Amino acid sequence: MEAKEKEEITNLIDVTKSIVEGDFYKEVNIKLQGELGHLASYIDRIRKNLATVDPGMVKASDKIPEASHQLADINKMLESAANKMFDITEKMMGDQDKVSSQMSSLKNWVETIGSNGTGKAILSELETMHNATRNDLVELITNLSFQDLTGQKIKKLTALVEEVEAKILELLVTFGHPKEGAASKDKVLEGLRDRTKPLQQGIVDDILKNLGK
Amino acid sequence: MLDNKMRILVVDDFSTMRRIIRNLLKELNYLNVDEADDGTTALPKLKAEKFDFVITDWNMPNMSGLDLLKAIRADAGLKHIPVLMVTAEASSENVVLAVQAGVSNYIVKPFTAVTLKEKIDKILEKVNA
Repeated sequence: MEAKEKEEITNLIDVTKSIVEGDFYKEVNIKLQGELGHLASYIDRIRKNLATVDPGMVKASDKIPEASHQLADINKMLESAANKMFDITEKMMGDQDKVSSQMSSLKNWVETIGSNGTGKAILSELETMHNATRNDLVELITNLSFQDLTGQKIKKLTALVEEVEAKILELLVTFGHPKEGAASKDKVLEGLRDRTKPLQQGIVDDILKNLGK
Repeated sequence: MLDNKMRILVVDDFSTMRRIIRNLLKELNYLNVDEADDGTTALPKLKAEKFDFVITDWNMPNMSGLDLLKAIRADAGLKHIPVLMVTAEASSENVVLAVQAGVSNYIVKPFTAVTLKEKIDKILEKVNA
């Protein structure tokens, strides 16, 4: 075997090793002839295909943890909004109970003083409005069940997204990262998750302070 | 004889849904209400305290409403308690499973105060007959 041929075979072995280690960017020297030339060409095609898939995978693995965090945040915001609406509605219903009691006293008083028809008519109108408002408040509370229903669906969706995320991370770890070489699984997972983890206001303030803001 | 003084346990992992049911029960004049956030917290409560009626969700972590229902029906001291399932699981398969497990009645979310009243009244009618 000629020295040049030996060098080309060594190059082919090096490229194959690099692919196994996750580096798809080392080029194959395809000057070999015959069966070895076919093999070199085949390995180069694999390398190019993996190099195309890899950035997409890295991009997806960046976005997906963000998606599951966003979904979890939506759930928290919906729950918080629903609870605020509950607080207000319950307060209004409490006030309504007091109004009911006052109206009852007023009714007795109107009857005691023997008011003419006008007083009774006004009181009756007030009672009708009061009952209608009560029904609306009950309706409002019932409709807050949107939080439970959307929350359950979002929870299912989050679980699904997390499953996809795990699969993509698994693939990414299997293939390695083009620039960092074959990083350990824990390191890759930690890095990707940290980038999308929501920060507490205190940490954000510290970062802003360090940036001179 | 069960009436509006009966003690009700509302079981749901969503605090907002527990709040909805509690408020609707208040409107229906059922004021003796307690809460649990899933089957695993509900079951010890049911065993330790006296409850007359259970309203439970189906989908909950740790112990589902269906498993809670089965546990209630399997316990000699609890099996008489009426269980009303309030759930978004509206498939016929789910309803059949719940009935087979001994559910007293079944409400599909979202629901209204009128539906809740109808279902409770129907259960009490049977229990008190």
